[in-house]
Amino acid sequence: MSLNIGALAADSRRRRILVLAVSFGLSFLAMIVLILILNILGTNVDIFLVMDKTFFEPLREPKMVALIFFWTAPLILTGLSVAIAFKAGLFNIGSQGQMMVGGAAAGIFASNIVPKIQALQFMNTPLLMIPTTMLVGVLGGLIWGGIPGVLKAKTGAHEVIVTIMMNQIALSFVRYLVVSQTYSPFVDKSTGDAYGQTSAISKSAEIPLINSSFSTFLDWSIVPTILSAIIIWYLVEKTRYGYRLRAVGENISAAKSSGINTNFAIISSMMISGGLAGLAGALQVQGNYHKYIFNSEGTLGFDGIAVALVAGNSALWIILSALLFGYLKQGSLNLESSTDISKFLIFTLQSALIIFIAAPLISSKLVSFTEKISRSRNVENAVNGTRQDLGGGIGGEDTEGGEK
Amino acid sequence: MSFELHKNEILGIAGVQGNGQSELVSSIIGMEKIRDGYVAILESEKATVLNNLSIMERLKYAISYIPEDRNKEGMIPNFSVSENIWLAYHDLETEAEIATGETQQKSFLSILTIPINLLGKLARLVIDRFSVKTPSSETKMKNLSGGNQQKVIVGREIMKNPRVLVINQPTRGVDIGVMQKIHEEIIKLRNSGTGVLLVSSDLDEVLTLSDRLLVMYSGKIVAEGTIEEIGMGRLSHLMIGGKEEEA
Amino acid sequence: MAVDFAQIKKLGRQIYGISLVKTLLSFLIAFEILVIYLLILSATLGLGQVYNLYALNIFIFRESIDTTMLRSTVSLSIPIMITAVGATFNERAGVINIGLEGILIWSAWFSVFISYTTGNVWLATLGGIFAGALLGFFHAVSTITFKAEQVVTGVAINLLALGVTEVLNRAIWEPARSAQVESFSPVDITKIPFIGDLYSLLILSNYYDVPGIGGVLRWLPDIFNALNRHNPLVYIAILFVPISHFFLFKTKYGLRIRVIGEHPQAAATAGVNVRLYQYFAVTLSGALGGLGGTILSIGVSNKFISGMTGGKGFLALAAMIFGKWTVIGGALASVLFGFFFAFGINLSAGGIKGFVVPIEFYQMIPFIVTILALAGVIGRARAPKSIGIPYSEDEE
Repeated sequence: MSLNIGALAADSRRRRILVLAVSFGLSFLAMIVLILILNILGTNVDIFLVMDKTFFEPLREPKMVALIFFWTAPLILTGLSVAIAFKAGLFNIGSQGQMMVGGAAAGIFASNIVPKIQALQFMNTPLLMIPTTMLVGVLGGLIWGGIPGVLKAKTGAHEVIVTIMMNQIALSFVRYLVVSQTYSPFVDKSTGDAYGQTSAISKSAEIPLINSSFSTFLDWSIVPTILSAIIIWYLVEKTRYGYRLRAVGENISAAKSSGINTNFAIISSMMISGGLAGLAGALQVQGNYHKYIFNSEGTLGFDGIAVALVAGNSALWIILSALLFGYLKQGSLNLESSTDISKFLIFTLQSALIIFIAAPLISSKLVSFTEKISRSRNVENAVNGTRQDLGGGIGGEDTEGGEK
Repeated sequence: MSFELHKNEILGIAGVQGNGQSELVSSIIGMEKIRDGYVAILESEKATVLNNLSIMERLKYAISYIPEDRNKEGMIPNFSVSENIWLAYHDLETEAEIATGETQQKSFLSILTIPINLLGKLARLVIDRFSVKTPSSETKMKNLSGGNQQKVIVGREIMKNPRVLVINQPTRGVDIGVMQKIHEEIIKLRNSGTGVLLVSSDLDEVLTLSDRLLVMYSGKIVAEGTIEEIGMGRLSHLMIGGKEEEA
Repeated sequence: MAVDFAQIKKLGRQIYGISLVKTLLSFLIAFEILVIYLLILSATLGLGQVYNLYALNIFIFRESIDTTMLRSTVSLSIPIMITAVGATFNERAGVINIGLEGILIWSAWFSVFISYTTGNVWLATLGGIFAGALLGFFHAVSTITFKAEQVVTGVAINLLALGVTEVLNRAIWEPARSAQVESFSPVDITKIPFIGDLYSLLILSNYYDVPGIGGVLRWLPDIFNALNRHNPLVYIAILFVPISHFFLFKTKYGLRIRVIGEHPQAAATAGVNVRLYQYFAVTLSGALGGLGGTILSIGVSNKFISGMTGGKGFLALAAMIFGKWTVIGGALASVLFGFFFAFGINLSAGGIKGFVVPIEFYQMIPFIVTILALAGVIGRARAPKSIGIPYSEDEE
């Protein structure tokens, strides 16, 4: 069963953009409906305040704009993670869990394993620690994504349910590693109130800020992020591996009968997908928090789904899409901090967007409708023109414009 | 059931659809597992059993396959014409490999490259030789007519100059002109040494092209031989499951 | 083309191959694997006392038949069970609904909301069922009429439900939890006139003091005691199991639903309105899921807490697959999952002296089991043939 994400299979680029725009419009409408419902229920919501806080405030101050870029980086990675799985015809919802495992692995590695083992002290320099910690994160995510991949390839187990299960298992497992004060050796027990985090990672693993006076959030992790996007783009579009991957995603029977190793494609794409999400987790630990904090991922894994879908699963477009969603995320945070409206309002917008993109018949029926109107108008003009030339006497109103 | 396909021959399987022909073809190529018996390639006294080989490995023995449902199995509608042609050559690196039919051992890193020039050349070759009507080699396959799509699929497999060609429904859903062209090419291939296994629900097609016939009914071979040996009357009789009467 | 209903019935019987012996055996094997899992964990984590396999078996067995434990099993399995029964309907009709978790979340929240505003638990129950049906209907519209990819829509519904409940909850009460609301009080069957006395006969704990037999009875699970004193919704939900089984497998309407899942064209040719039945099945499954969510929030508890569904919607899906797409099988599998949940809560709270395994490892168990079930470790099962494929009349 290859995934058929309707909007993305639309024929022309113009049509695709139109369908996307309509989907956005409809989702936006859904969000407004929700706000109206809130008003009916008694919470007085000033729509203009909501719009201002969510959409305009993030663009006002440079510090806010910097924050948008801050959110963009992990969204690029989770978006890439979901996208490359989609390219192989797989729906990876597990990026949330993969990011968690990657982040926790990186955090524990850099805070507990290296500093505490004498034999590994030689690694305690930035040159070694930064890439190694990143690698540990990638490995964690890779394993966490590889398991559903192997199960799908060898047993046909549906990757959606398996990755959801893996998310839940990750939640429990990482919780034990990082929250369980009594039982886990990795929890930060120094500060009495430090709930659910590892101790600080070794300084050598930290990724430095770009310009601390400009922003206390933007760090150099944007570099491996953009690099990953370029590498994934190249891998998918310009290599033999990518060709085979796309073939498997498009039509697995045709791929199989052409001798393509479909198991390899499925397993490897899930591993890469997991690895990307794991990298996102590691970069958050190294660049931002400097320790692993339980549940710090928020909804980044799920946001990646919307990012990937809006970008049409294309690696380079994901960068832009991530920017858009980073902007929305910052808006949602502004909204939550200054009103009674939860940041999940934007999450709702994203979910509605996924539905409209996946059911493009809704959006494309609207688009077709408008096209039909303009087309029939053209036909009408042509018929009228010809009728005038011949002085009347063609079929009349029941001449249909040859539509399929 | 047991049969042999020889060089320079077209072996046609006559039978009403649904009597096991497609399953037979699928198991030869490797899409389905063989539970009992074996498929082997015999060349100059050496026999290689194919049962446990993957599809890719079997294809390396110069077996080409044209499936019966081009939409389900034969092509990728969203890919361009040249990308579809590449489906038959995706593990090849150089022209030399295509010419000799021998594939060299490649390093793992070869999955990171695509020989673009080769791709372009191959596409042009197939399009020209089979007169595929398409605005460009980059047009999406789904925008071609059924006949042209079939020409691309048949073309890419025949261009490989395989030793064995297994075809299921070569001319389903195509017009007369395309049908003639495809038949021409199959005969040319046969003349150059290939052994062709032909499955078709079009009895005329089977009779016109085949040198020898197998008649299948209910998963078994009920007759084998040339059309003269079998006789038209008996052929139709067997195809619908009639039992052999004592002469 | 005549539809061979007789052949379809035979097919159904092949799939519905649940034998009692096999079920018992699998329960036993599952139990033993559980014990070994815990043993390995306690040994490697080096926490608390490590018992040997035999002793651990005895302790865990004794904990498992503990009445409080069994009672929790019932409370925890029922929401999964009713949702799994619902899922059986829509999958049998050929529609995949991954959005069950979302339906649980939404109906759990909505029933709390109705209880909050009206103070009436029965209205709230209706509200919850309606909420579930609404979401089910929504899924039906997207996938049947608009032919969206069923899996993607299901996932989106989960996310949507998550988002909307958070937004509404925060606006009305506070983030992530609601106020306490009117909920159901437990029903003591033994107090019902006439039936109650009959029921009391089945409660084993009443005989514990009888010399001789009493000692033996203590080693048996006191099932009917455990089934007592739950909220009324639980009993309603349990009733739905045989009703659904009867409907799906013994009536012509159920047969039509099942044929649609296998071969919609055949059903259409026989004059069945495929779309109508699919809509019905999906909306019904939403309604049943709605009941499940209601039980979670105002049946077993008395408020809404973010995350209270904890993946139960997905476990319902797994239970259905585990149960080979039959109602009874799914119900049994749900009991197994409920057992694992209850087991975890009970044991990590110090059920066995000195035995320490962090609670998180218990929480993982249902999910690991689900993966094993999906991977076919526990026997292959076949989904309805035409599942996931949007039905359109113009297909040949």
